[in-house]
Amino acid sequence: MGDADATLAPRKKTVSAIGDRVFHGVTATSALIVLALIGGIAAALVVGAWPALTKFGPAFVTSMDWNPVTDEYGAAVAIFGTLASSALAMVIAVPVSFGIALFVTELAPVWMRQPISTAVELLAAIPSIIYGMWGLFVFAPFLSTYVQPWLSSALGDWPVVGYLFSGPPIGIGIFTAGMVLAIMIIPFITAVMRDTFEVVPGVLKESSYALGATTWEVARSVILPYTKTGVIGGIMLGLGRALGETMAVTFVIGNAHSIPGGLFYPGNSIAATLANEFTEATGEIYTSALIALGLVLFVITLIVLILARLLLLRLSAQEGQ
Amino acid sequence: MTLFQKRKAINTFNMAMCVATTVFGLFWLVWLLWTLISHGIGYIDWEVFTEITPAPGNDGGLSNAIVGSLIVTGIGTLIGAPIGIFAGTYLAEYGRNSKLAALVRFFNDVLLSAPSIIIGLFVYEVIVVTMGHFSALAGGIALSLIMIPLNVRITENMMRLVSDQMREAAAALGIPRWKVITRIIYRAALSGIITGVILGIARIAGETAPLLFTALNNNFFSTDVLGPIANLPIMIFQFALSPYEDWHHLAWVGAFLITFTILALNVLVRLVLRPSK
Amino acid sequence: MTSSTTDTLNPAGASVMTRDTHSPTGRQQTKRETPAEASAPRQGVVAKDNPCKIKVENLGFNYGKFQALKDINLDIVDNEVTAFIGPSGCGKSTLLRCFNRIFELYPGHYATGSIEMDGQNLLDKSIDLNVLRSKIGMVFQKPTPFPMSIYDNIAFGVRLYEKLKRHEMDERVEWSLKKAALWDEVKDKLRANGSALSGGQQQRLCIARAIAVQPDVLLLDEPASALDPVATLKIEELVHELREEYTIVIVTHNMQQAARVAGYTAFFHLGEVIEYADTDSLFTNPREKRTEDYLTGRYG
Repeated sequence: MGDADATLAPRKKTVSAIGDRVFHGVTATSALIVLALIGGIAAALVVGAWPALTKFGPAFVTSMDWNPVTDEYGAAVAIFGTLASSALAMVIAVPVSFGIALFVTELAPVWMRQPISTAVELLAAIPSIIYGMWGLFVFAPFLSTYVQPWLSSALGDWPVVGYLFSGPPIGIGIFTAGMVLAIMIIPFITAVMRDTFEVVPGVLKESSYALGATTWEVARSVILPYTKTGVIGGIMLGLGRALGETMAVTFVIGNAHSIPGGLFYPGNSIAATLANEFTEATGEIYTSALIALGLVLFVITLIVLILARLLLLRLSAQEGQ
Repeated sequence: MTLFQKRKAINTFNMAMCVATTVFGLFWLVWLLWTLISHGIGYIDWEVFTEITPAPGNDGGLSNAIVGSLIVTGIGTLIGAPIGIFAGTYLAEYGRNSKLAALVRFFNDVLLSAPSIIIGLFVYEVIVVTMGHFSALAGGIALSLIMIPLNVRITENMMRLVSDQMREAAAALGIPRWKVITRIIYRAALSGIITGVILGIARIAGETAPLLFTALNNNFFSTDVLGPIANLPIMIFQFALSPYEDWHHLAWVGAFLITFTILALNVLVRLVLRPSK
Repeated sequence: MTSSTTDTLNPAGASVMTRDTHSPTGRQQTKRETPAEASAPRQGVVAKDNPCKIKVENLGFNYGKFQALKDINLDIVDNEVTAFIGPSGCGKSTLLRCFNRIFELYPGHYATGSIEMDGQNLLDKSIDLNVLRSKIGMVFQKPTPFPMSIYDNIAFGVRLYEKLKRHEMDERVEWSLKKAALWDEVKDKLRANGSALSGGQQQRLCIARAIAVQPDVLLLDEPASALDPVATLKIEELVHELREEYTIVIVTHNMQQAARVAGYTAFFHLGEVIEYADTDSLFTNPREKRTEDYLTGRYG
């Protein structure tokens, strides 16, 4: 035994053991910071929102008042604006993203695929404030001059749709915010859809092509069913982005604290309200009401994002089988 | 029309729609970039880099905003990148299949798409309120919180690309785990990890919402990390929404600078560092 | 080695014989067991008077709930090449991975029983794993050059355990590359990246890297399975050379390879050692029906 002890005795045990423990500790702590962040954000928002929440109660979510003078606050207008602009963005972005993803994975000649993907990714890299500025100075005037009058006259007399497309063609409002949001989230949804389309096994596609199916038929009856969860996950991810997008919306939504009568009317979103008013808010209740708005936004996006991630996890589990 | 003709027509129509949507999607990139170039490039001169932001009607530049942006982005990177890389290391190495790692991974992905203005609110409550005033440090911390999830994700993915046989071969030589990771796995995944950091910088360089309530703005030249600091995004926000023509011009210059820096970083990463698939 | 284990575990009717070319002790006689011991467990232990380097006793191994090895008893002979053969999934690699406890990288993998080397139980918790692994080198299926220069690939492991002067390190690198029959091919490009070498060269680099830290035992896990026939031949020649100084255990799915390089061979099936004997008798005169079936290609 004595001899063996000499050969296997821990020569550098202390050094390597300490190094390992320290490094393990550092990395694990960093991982825990990520977890603590989510918890910390939720806790900080609840604490900050508490005065407003106790004062207004559940009515905070349903009240349409937002009056710093009388210190009465309700989130309904901002929630409505957030949901309406995001909904419009989804209506535009989902089919467009689907088309681009399909084009990039199935249709485009191989040499075009990488450049198109890169271009779409670059669109995602442009900061949102740039979209906001462009939206305000370039896109909104364009919409008010060319698109909105045309939409109003073409669709204005239709029963329900006409109501949607009513309002002053001033270029600023829910409609413009939704359009800009759509342009901003197209890259995110496209990227997820493209990645999920790429996991469809080649043999599946080949065997339906071999039956004489057209590209569209393969897309509809093979690719889509196979990637259903991933596609929905990607859409939810885009929705999460749209709901929380701040700067671009702030520039073009109009900042009006009233429920808009149609898409062309100005409105407000939670994030835009925060961006516009938070630093100027005076008084405990005003600040607290703004933080409560933030809490509402956090809860909504958290639910959407968790659903999105669960769907995407299900897809990758299915892929792993 | 026969069934076949009908199918073919549907296919042709839908494929045409695919092409159309792609053109539609990319059209905005061209329009945006053209706007930035046409509005911004004409007003770039030497003063932009040497003079501080002016009062309305006066001449001036963006030097304080540019330096401030560099400082805030730098603080964000210095705090965010190490934490992100280490957390990613934990997920790829020590944590792997543990429940804790799964939980961290999940919420990291949620954090990755969380609204950045919420991050700003959080840092405002935790740091600005505690310190009693806005500061570059608070802004940097807010940006680091945006950087962390990105780096966690990319670092883990890149380290996972290194085969387990490499880890086994290193361990079989009697190399302690932390040295295997820091000296071998990091080296093998280096280009990917750097890609993550650069993409993270590109991401936070243009972030505005988290700075609104943290770094605020400063119309003068300042390098004090404990005080409010000028920065390009907030400058763009204020100047663009102002009624003054010459502030608009400076806002466009700032937008041009920031966008093309970010796009350059993105292109650089793709050309130089992206591991060939 | 206790007498009881030896008695009960001696292969019944095994023809245990060492070829003189391989035998470090120069023993040449053939030993025959009495038929009375035919009811003993089928696992084999090579004759007890052979110098035994590693002694495996009652070893079990689990991947979580799945038991991959059951009650393995085996002696690895000093300064010899021992081959583990058997169909895939039979546990041969698993046993190899127990010797340096590389399985501990993965949670839920654990071994029971004992593996004794030089009188010490390698599975003992108090043993420093890194020191253990510096004593027992391992080479894997696929070549795994580290992302650094050829020189550093070798120096990296050495630096952890020895403080060498620059010229001493140069000598060590040259020595191990020569041992691995790679020196002539790389001596002019020691600063080149290890991944720039061909697959066969990379694998010899990995062998050089393993012997540079001067281990007692070398574990080779299908070292040639990813290589072309010419490179395979080189590796086999190398193993033949190295057995003079090291105790080598090689896992292979290639029976001819086992026959070519190994002095002793163990046949594994479903997590058990079916037969263990010197290579000649195992191949020419297997005691077990299952061994014979495998050797003649009836399954596996």
